[in-house]
Amino acid sequence: MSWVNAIIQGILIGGLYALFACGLSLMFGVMKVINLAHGDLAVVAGYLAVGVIAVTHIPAVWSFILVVPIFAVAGYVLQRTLIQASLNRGVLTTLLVTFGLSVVIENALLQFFSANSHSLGIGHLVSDSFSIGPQISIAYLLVAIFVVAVVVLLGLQYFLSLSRHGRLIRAVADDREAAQLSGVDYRHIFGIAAGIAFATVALAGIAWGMVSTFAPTTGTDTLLLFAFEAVVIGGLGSLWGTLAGGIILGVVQQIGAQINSADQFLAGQLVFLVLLVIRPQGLTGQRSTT
Amino acid sequence: MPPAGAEVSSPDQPAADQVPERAGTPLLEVRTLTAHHGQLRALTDVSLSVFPGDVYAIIGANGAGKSTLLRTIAGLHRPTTGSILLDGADVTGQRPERRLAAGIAMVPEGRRLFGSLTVEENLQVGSSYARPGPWNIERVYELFSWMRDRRGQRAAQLSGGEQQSVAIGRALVANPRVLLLDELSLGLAPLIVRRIYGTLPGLLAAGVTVLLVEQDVSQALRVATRIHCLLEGRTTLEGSPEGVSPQRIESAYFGLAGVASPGGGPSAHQEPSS
Amino acid sequence: MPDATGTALLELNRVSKSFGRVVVADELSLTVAAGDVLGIVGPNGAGKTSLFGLISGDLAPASGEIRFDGHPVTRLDAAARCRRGIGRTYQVPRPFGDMTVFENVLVAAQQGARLRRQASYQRAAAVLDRTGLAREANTASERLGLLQRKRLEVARALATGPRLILLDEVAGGLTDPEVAQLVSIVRGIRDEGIAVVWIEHVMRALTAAVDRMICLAAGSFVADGRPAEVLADPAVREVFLGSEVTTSLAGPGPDAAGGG
Repeated sequence: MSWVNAIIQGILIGGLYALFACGLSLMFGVMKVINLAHGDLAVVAGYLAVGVIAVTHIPAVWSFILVVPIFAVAGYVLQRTLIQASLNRGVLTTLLVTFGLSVVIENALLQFFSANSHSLGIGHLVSDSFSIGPQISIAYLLVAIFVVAVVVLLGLQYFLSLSRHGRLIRAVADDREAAQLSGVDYRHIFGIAAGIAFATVALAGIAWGMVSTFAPTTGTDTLLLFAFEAVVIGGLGSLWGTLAGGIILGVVQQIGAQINSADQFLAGQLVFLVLLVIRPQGLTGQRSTT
Repeated sequence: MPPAGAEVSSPDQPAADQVPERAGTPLLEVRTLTAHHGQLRALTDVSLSVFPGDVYAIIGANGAGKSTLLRTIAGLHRPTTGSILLDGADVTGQRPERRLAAGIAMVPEGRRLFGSLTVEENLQVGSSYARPGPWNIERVYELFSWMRDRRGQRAAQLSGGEQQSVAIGRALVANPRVLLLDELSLGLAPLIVRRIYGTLPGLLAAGVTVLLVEQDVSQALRVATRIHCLLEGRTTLEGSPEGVSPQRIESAYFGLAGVASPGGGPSAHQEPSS
Repeated sequence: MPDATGTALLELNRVSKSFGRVVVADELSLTVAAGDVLGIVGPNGAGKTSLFGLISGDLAPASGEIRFDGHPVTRLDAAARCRRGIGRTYQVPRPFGDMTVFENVLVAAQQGARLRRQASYQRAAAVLDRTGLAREANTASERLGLLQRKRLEVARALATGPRLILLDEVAGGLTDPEVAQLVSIVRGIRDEGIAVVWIEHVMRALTAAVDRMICLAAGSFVADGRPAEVLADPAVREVFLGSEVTTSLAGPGPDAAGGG
């Protein structure tokens, strides 16, 4: 593959990383929750999709239609119950709870599905590609996923900026108490934010399942890490920052793969560390003034 | 020599308060409210009644419990004992959101605007759960004439006085029956403070009753129809500004034994040491 | 009465500090002699706790000089100043919760006063006696009541062996008898030759304990003198009560009708 090809691949996969990251970013931005089970939720979505396909026989590509709404509701419920209860007890408790959730999910998956990896079989769609010139070959699937990711991020951005509930979410994120004084039930708003986060991560998980494989532990050893890195690189400031962060991560990984295919992920890790040192607030984030 | 019958006390002597009860049902009533911050008792047995049309001012030094009182009324703080009634209905256990629906809106200390939202968006959030009534965003723009042109500006970029006006507007659009104002003057230049307090008559004319906490005693006296002084969590003075001499205010504020002798009142009892 | 012949223990020379547009210290100059007991009053936001921060080293001044015992300390951080002899309490008592009262004070003695072993145990025990906490020595500090917590705050500051102790609003929330106990502790500290600077808004605690009172408003000293004089000073009244009440107080006679 050429360098240009690598960069294009990186950009496209970066869109998927951004989709992974936006849910993590949203939950932290709005309720200051670092969801350590974030990656595992994506894997659960993948397994759920496998199950849904097996039961309903719908084409794998459309499995998200059932899975995403289920996850949205699950996110709301989980936030209103488990996570809210732990928030009331403090930040550290919440971290432990999401960590515990991650452990529980992984072990439950191991129990039911064994350690074998799965993927969402979509047949020839995986490898169908088009070419630009002799050295550049782009898979339709990757382009489709990138487009979906960008559309979702755009939609989320518009939702937050223009809709009434988006405004309430931003208000609660700015000052929860002041929002309460304006009549806002912040726990309900937290629930909506969690629902959105779960929905996006489910979509991302299914997309991942199409281009790659997942196993019970993929959540923590790969997906959470990518999401985290994309958020940190891009900064918590805006969704476009998250997109930029995802793309940078993707590109760096692909370039790393060009240099030495074994170092693909290492390259991403290194860039993440460097950025953490020189600009910890990320590309679009603001230094907190204390 | 203090005037006869001075109703002044140190915190361990409850106010020998013989102010005659005002007639009718109060709009907002606080009954023997006691509140803690952890182990620290911030309020002890505080009672007050706010009637429709009042500008009820709570004054007192730092640590007197003024803001705690207001926050408890707004629902942000849970009292230890005592109750809060709005138009006769007990709201003590209600969350702040429910109290807004019932008609209590607070402009919190330090403004607390939604910094990343624009001026208009702040007002829109304020009207998200508004009660029916005369106030809306348009009317707030009429009250604060500069606001309409700046409504697209991010709230964090406004000056202190401008933020204060937006914060008041945000509470007003919910159409409260009782508006709580917590330390409006904090951090603002005197001229700005006067201008903001100058909007009070407009609020009253539209049927809003005001309960305010103010650090600047003179400023409070300028606008209040009723005055209530707290000292270390207890009431040391309650009455109408006309009937209160500056000396009584001073002693109620500082609570210094010897500044005024509790002369002709009923014998005060000492609080047993705890 | 301030000791007129006492050597200057703490000197502030035109110290200034601002946070953005808010001026918390405006060219403040202050001298505290050994044996002084100084009370500082002022409204919310006047800069009182910032002043303590500047003295204790938690805040660095934008300009001006601070000298302690004749040596410049302006550049020293809080730990260094503590070892030189400036001790302080904090407004919100935060003891090391699961450690006992004795252990809390011991840490202060070992870290602040750099005492070792036997000397540190003795210091801790002595301080607990002085602050009336001997009986609670083995109680976990998070289980203490309010007055005891405040005593512990003072004890920790004392265990560092200070020559000057800064008390930050320690009397809040205490009943009359408790305030009296606190005042006697402060008197005991003074009797040992430790200078005391005390920020407080519980006036009756200050008037019972201090010889000298300063009123701080918007970063400037507005009055400096005996407590009774300071509280009657129109400038001080104006700061707390505003101009109209102050004018009325200074008016023709105490029976003049009040009100704006």
